[in-house]
Order: sequence, then C-alpha cells, then structure tokens
Amino acid sequence: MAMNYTNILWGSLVSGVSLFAVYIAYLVVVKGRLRGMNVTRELYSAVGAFTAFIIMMSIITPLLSHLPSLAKPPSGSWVLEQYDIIAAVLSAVKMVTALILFPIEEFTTYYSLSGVINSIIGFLGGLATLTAMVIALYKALLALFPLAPLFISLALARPNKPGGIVLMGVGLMTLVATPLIGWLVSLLYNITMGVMAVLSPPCLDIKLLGVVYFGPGPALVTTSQGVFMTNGTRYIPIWGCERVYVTQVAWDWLVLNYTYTPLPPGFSIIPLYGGTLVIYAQLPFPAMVIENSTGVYGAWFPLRVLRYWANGTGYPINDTAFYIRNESVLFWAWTSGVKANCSLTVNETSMVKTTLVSGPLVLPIYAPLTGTYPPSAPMGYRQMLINATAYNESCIIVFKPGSRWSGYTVLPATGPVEWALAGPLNLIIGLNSQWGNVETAFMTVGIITVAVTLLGILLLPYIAIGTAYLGAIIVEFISPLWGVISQLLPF
Amino acid sequence: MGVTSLLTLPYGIGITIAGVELAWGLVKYYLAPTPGQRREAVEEFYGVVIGAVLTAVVAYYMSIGPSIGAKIAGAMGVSVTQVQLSDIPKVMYFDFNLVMGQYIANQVLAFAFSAAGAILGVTQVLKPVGALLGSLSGFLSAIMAPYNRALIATMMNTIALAALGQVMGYMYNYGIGSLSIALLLPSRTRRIGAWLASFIIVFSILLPLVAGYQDVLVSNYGNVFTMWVNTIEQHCSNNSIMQTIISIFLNAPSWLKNAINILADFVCGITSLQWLVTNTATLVSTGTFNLLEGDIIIDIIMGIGFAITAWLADLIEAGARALFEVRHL
Repeated sequence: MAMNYTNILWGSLVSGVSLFAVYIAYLVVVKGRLRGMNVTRELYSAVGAFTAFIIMMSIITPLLSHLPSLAKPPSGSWVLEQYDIIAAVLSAVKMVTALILFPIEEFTTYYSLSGVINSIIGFLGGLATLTAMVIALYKALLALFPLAPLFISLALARPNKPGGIVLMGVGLMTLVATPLIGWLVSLLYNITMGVMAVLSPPCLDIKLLGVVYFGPGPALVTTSQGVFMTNGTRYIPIWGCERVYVTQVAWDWLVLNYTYTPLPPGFSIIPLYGGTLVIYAQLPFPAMVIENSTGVYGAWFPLRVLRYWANGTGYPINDTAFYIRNESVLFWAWTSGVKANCSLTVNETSMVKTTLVSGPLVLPIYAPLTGTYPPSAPMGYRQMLINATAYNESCIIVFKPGSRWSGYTVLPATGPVEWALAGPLNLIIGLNSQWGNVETAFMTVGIITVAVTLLGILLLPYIAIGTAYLGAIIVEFISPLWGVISQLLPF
Repeated sequence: MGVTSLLTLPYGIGITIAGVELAWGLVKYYLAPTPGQRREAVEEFYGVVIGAVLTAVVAYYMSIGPSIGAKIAGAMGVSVTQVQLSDIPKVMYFDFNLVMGQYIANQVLAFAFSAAGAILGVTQVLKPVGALLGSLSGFLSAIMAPYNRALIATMMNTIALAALGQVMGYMYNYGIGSLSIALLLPSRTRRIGAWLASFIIVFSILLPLVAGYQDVLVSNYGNVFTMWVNTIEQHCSNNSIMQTIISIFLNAPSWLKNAINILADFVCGITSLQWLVTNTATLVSTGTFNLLEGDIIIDIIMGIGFAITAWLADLIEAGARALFEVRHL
C-alpha cells in the first residue's frame, strides 16, 4: 500500500490548476458578467494566489520529482522487528530463569530479574513504538507535502475567512513540519537502532544445560558462556547456537585438572532442555581440606615419606594437624603458614597453578541475584613444599588456615542471563548522551512548526495583500492585451 | 436505473425538493403584482433552476462518491475497498469485531497461560512446567505489545469512522444532501445549508475512501495474531511428540482438547525458539507498522477533510449568495 508520491504531486498540480480555473471562471462569468458585480478585488486575490501556487509548485516540483527526496523514510517495520526479536529473547530468558529458580523456591530472585527484564522490554517497546509512529507520521506527511502549496494558495485566495485560516495552518504546518520531522526521524531512528544494535542478542536460541560436577567444592567453573559456582548438580542457561566448553575449574584459587563430556538431551518434558555437561575435576593429588561450615581455608597433603626409622609413624590428627615420629615427610601445602615442634624445611613452590577469580560480568546492583563469589585473590596464602623430620621425637605439624574460599550461585549469569543482566548497562551505553539531543530535537521541531504556523496565520492578510498586488499586476497587464485580442477575434 | 427508481429515496426527495423549488419560483412569478417584481421573479427563477438542478444532482453525487474516492486512492497508488455510504457502519463494525477479537484472543491466551502456570505451579512436581507457562504469558505480552497498541488505535478509528458513516448514511438515505442545496436558496438558511453542503461534498468522497482504506488495512494486517498462531500450528503439525501428547486427550471435552492443543503448539514452538523468534518478529512487525501508519494517515486525512469542509463552506455560502440573492430592480 505504498504511496505513489509522483502521482500525488501531479494530482496536486492538476487539482490546483482546475480549482483556480473554475474559481476564476466563476468570478469572471457568474459574478462579473451574469450578476454584474464588481469582482476586481476578488479577481486580483484569486489570480495572485494562483500565481503563488504556480511559483510554489515550480519550486517544490524539482525537489519532489523523485520523492521522497527530503530524507528517505527509514523502515518502521525493521525497528519493530528488532524490538520483537530482543523482547522475545528477553522473555525466553525469563522462561529459563523461572525453570531454574522456581523448583528451588527462589521466587524473589525470579521476580527481581523479571522486573529488570520487564523494564528493558517496556523502555524498548516505548522507544520502538515512538520511532515507528514518527516514521509513520513522516510517511503520511510526505504524501501530504505536495499538497501544501495548494492549501496555502487556497487560503491566500480567500484570506479573511475562517476556512482560509485553517487551510493556511494545515498547509504551513505540512510545509514546515515535513522536512523537520524527516530530520527528527533520521535522528530517532539512528538512536533507536543504535540501542537495538547494542542490545541485540548474539543468538536467537536459548537452552537449559544440566551440569553434573564431580570434584572438590564449591568449585568455580569458567566456561565459554560465563562462570558459575557449583557443588554438584545444577542447571545453567546457555545460548543454543553456541557450543559450551569448560575453560577452567578452580577451587580455593587452585586450578584443577578436569575433563568434561557434553551429553545430548534424551526425551524431556522441559522443551528447552539442551543436554548435560559432566565435569570431573581434581587436584594433581588427593588433599586434606581445611574446612568448616563457613568455607574452605586451604589444603595440604603428605606427598611421600622421605625417610623411615624404626617404629616410624605418621597420621593426621585433624584437618590442620599431622603427627609424625621417627619419620621424614614431604608435605605439599596451600595454607597461610606452617609450624611444628621439630625441624622444618619450607620451600615456596608453584606445583599447582593458581588463578584470580572474577564473578559474572553484571552490574553490581544485580550481584545479589547471581549469588556470592570468593574474593578475586587469596589473602596470605603460600604454596609450600615442606620437609618435616622427627627422629626419636614426636612432632606435630600444624597448618595455619588461609582466607576463606566460599560462594554459591543462585542464578548462573551465563549466556543469555549474563546478556540480559548487562542490558541496562548496554541501554545506557546505547542511549549515551544522545537522549538529550532527542528531547531538544522534539522541542525544536514542535516550537519551529507552531511558531511558523502561527506567524503564517497572523501574517495571512498581509501576505494575501502581497499576492493580491501580484494578481493586480498580472490582471492589469492581461486586460489590455485581452482587449486587443478580442478586437481581432471575428466573434 | 429505471425512471420509477428516481422516486425512491434518496433521489426521490432530491427531485421532490427541486420540484418544490421550481413550483415556488413559478408561484412567485405568477403572483407578482407589478411588472418590476415580475422581472425580479424571472431573475430569481434562473437561480432557482440552477438550485433545482443541483438539488436533484447531489443525491447522485453522493451515490457515486465511493467510486470517485476509490479512483482518487488508486491514482495515489493505494488500492481501497469500495464501500457505499450506507454500508460504512456495517463494514467498520465488522472490522472492529475482527480487531477486537484479535485483541481479546491475545489477552485471553496470555491470561490462560498465566493462570494455567499458577495452577500447575502449586504442585511441587509440576512447578517447572508451571513456571514455563507463567513466563510464556510474559513472552506473549512482550512480543505482542506494539501490535496490541496498533490494534487499539485501529479500534478507535473504526469506531469514529462507523459513527461518521452512520451520520452520512442517514444524510444520504433521507436526502439531506439535496435538502442542504435547497437550504442555500433562502438567505436565512444559507449558512447552515453551506456547511451541510460542504460537509456532504467533501465527505461523500473522503469517508468511503478512508473507510475503504481502513477496511483493506484490517483485512491485510488485522488478524496477524491468528496468522501467527496458525503458523505455529502448521509448524508443529509434524512434531511426533506433540501429536502423541495431543492424542492422549483425544476423548477429552472439546474445550480441554483445544486448550491442550494450543498449549502443546506453544510448547512445541518454544522448542524451536530460533524459528519462533524470527517468524514472529517478521510477521508481527510488518502488520504492526502498517496498521500504525494507516491509523496516522487516516487521522491526518480526516483532519484535513474537516479543514477543507470549513474552507468550502465559506466558498459555497459566497457562491450561493451571488447565485441566489434576489436583486431588487
């Protein structure tokens, strides 16, 4: 149902010429000749207005011969399509979040996230609709634009009547508002599409992945689609069109050796289920863990007995102490320090790689939704190789706990959830300082349009006097000529 | 058109009024007491004849207004349905019903998903399914939000056009068009006659044009929701698991069967989320934008129609004064 602007332009020209021809003929024939009334002033106005119409059309015709020439209207459907894609994917994020959080009765977290997503959708929906409506308005105004000279000249023909004032208002408003709204449309479209581009999801498919973890916990699992903490089994949301692979498993800032196997989904009542990821992780050797109900505070392990004398013995007392007698034992330890009542040789080592921890990339205000994570770096930890020797004596080796390793993930900020939670930040980046420009632009367009229209209406009688003078010159020039011609005519 | 049909409404009333005008002109001529007044009556009679012809013709003009409107729209590159003046309320009511039906279906489905989710969510075992359904409702509301706005704007337009159509229909059926021309003759009723005539001249063409445009918009883009649901149904008709679930409820009451069908289709749609998102975005966005654009065009055209009516009323009044004013010789 596209408008044919060239047809509208020609329609306006033909309508104007016909209307003025009929009106001038009516003035001359009916009012002047048949009724014998004095039509001089009306004729001057009509001819002047007609001349103004022809001048205006000759100015805008070259401009409009290839309409839309002012500014090509952008595609409103495209804006709404982008909105629909983002809104649909954000809504799907809500779905998988509900599936993760409802069974574990984390209702508050769900409703908070739902609120965040609803605000993004609401804002984006408003922006998209506003843009689409301004585009639609511009397209409608473009169709009206070629008719503006006709409205103005009709008003000039009869300037002192209420109808003339209304037509002058409509004509001027169209003439002024169309290019201004065209400019506004480009500005708004660029901003909206800028925001949409920043928010645009990397993928349109969302899945839930079951993660089964075997290893010391809680572990921080870093994947290609984000990080999360796990103690065993959990679900994580992922982008369905990107493969998930594990890049690192850390426990107590120590990098674990791991293997993982992705298993495809069998039949599931939950249609978004994307399979299972089984992860096995361990330290290079078994370890004694320093742990209480608040978290993990280090690990140590007697690697081997270096020397053994008669009746030598060694065993752990608890998770921080080891007893030896008549033995020389080599320990690996990841603790704050070590003490003993026998001879100790301590060497710093980096047998097990350590890592810095970073939680999911979400705004700090959303951190409570995603859970808690350990501090980024261990405090006061040393990785040591310790040689303890107790010949003919009893020795207790005590390992001093380091800083706390703890954390749990409520909502894994992986893949789509990470993207959704970054949404508000991206919105801000997308809008940047440009929103101020939009407000100013709307106000400028409104003020200029209203001002020019009001000024035009107020000046209508004076402009009409000008066009009437123009008409008078033309009529007075043609009249004698017409006298001469009529003399030459045989009838 | 047979000669006798000229006597039926609205032509009949136009011809009757024209006849009365001519008779009045003749009565004035024959009853004129002096030769001067008789000459005046002759002068007046010319005007009365023109008035009578116009009076008789205006009903015909009103009847061909819709085809003129359709031709104008065609010349502008827009094809519209040709709607007769008296049919406008009926056509607009039909369109309103269609659009309102889509809006309600959309809201009901969103509510049904939400309610089903809440009910199922009560049981521990079905809590994930309940959660899925609850958020499916949010999904539906979010993607359909701009379309719902466009539907509301369309409903408003159809109501306004139906009301105007109702007025124009009565004007056409009861010969108000002809009467308005007749009212131009006496100086006391000239102003109201000019306004009526102007309104009728402008809106006999404009209203069917706009109503036809609205009708085409609604036929093309007013049932996007149904089209969307049908697309999902079609897409899921080959999904064996869904068909198995549906077949379990083969003997269930029809309302339950229908509800299960819709639920199964949407759950199936979610399994191919990428397809669902792309398909929905294309279908819904095109319909939404075209409806919005059409609504704005209609609002602008109607506003301009009223402006032209005001302008033309002045002109008609001045013209009528020049034509019909009795000159005292």
